[in-house]
Amino acid sequence: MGNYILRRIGQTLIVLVCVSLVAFFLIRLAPGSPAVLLLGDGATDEQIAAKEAELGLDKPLYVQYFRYIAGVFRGDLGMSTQYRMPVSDLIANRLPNTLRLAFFTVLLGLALCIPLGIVAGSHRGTAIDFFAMFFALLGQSMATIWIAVLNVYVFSVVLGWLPAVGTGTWAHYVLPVVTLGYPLAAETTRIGRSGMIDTLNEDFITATHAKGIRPSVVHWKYAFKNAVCPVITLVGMRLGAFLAGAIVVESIYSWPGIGQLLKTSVGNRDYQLVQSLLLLSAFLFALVNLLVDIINSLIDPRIVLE
Amino acid sequence: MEQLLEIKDLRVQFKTERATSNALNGVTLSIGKGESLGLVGETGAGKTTTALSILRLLPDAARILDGSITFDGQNVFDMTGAGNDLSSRQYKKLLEKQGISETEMRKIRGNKIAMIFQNPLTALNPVFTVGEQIAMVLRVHRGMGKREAMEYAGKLLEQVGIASYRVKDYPGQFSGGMRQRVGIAAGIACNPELLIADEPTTALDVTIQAQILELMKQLQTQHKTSLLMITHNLGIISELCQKVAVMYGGQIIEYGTVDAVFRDPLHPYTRGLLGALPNLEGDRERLVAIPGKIADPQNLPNGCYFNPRCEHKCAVCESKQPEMIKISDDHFVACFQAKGGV
Repeated sequence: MGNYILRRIGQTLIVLVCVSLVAFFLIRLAPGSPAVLLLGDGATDEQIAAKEAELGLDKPLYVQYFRYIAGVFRGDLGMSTQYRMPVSDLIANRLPNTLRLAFFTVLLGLALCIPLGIVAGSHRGTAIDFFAMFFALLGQSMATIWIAVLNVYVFSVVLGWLPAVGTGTWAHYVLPVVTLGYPLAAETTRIGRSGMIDTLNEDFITATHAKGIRPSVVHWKYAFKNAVCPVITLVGMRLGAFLAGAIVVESIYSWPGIGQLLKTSVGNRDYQLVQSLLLLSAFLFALVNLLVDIINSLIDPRIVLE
Repeated sequence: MEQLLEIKDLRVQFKTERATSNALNGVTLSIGKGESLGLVGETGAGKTTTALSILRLLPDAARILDGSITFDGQNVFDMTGAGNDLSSRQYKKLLEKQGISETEMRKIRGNKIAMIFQNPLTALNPVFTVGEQIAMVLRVHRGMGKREAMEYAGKLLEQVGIASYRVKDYPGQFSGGMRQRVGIAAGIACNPELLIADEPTTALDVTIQAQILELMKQLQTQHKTSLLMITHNLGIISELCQKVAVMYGGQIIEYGTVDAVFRDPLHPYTRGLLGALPNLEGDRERLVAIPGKIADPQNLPNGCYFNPRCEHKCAVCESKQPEMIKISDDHFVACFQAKGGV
């Protein structure tokens, strides 16, 4: 077990190094320079060169990269050219909003999918199964952006029940969480259902029934544990993506999170901010994946054995 | 001998959208207390369906059309004359009414009747420890607490030759033979009156087979458990059982003591089965295979189900089903050709 976790941490570190390289070089491949964007179109070549020297952009790329990495290890992510403040402050400001949104989204997804998927899977072909599959089909068919717009239109514009933009109260969470959480619940319901159906067809389930165990215990205890692993894996992957900032949803609901920050920083060629945000996303994604793998290996011992 | 299990004229049909399969076509069987019966037949002859019927654990696609099962004086079900023209809701209602309640049935499963499954690699839940999979039986039927049940599970493991500290290990940490021992340990946990072993050694290699059989024999004599041994290996039957029932096309076609049936097989199919065994003594001859294919339960022939493969068939075999005739107290056969019936 300990070995397994160490190995996974090692793999995660390699991934992070790769991501930092890709993030660093990709944003520099994009046309346009932060110096030009800061100074405006009227700037002379001398002014631009001076600004680039000030930002350290005149140094060779590898020097810039190692400076950046050295900074990361000291906890210094550099200055945002666009906001003229330390990147770490910006992130500290925005990250909690994204984390809260992601947390409630996953909570909603799990709260819906676990009962719905498992019940549907163990009552195949019944009305509740039909309902669950309809619910899932709908959630998977609708694009997030469309759900978002629909939500705003119905609940904010027509009914006036919920605020459409901003943060502050609990009511502000409802629409963004539902928008992100419904497709997640749909997907996980489907996975949970099929996991349950596969498991219930296994010999060991017949064997458990043959031991005189109550069907509800067979389903919710002995089959559930088998069926839930793929659900956790999927939720982990989606959670990783939400932590990177749900760009579309954060933009529509003016949610001051990481996703919005990333969107504006790319537009402004804010090199320090972009590469730090990408690195942060990768780090959070890898962290969630690591946690998922550890949880799954606790549930299913075969993962460690293989 | 006092009867423990009685199956009377059991007919089971599997119905899917594509096909209807007549798995059991009038199976009549009984097992006395402490007796061991071998059930032989090729794959698809209905052996496993018979076993699952006894536990009332047939899959949803299966329907009991006729027949009854009594176990230890309790009515598992009596579906005599149920037929196949009921809707699935009517069928379920009838089944619930025609036997002991599901709660009563659960008290039998794993407690009075235990089953050992064919493939030890798939019969244990990979995400629970072997200890838990034995202990669950004890908690449900013996009312043991968590710790007590685990401890007892360790003792059971020792009885089947596995060190007790391994209760905490997962099935993936055991070999196939060891896993089958775990299955047996769970099977004998509550000291059942009837142990159903569904080809318990088919998935294992020969040396392990011998160990498992030795173990089962030892446990059976120790606890005086009745045994229903399902297999297609005749060697196992002669080793472990007093009586044998030969199955073909979802029917019992020959039945009697192992001694009588193996010494003087009367049904051409039984003779074929015994003729298909390799012989170590004498000249090396070609094995005699039974020609043709096993009866297809989706498309059974008219008359005797074995007639398309039978060397001795005559006109009546193609039109009428033979009835079980008594040859002696120890020997019954369903064949028109069997002379000397009483």
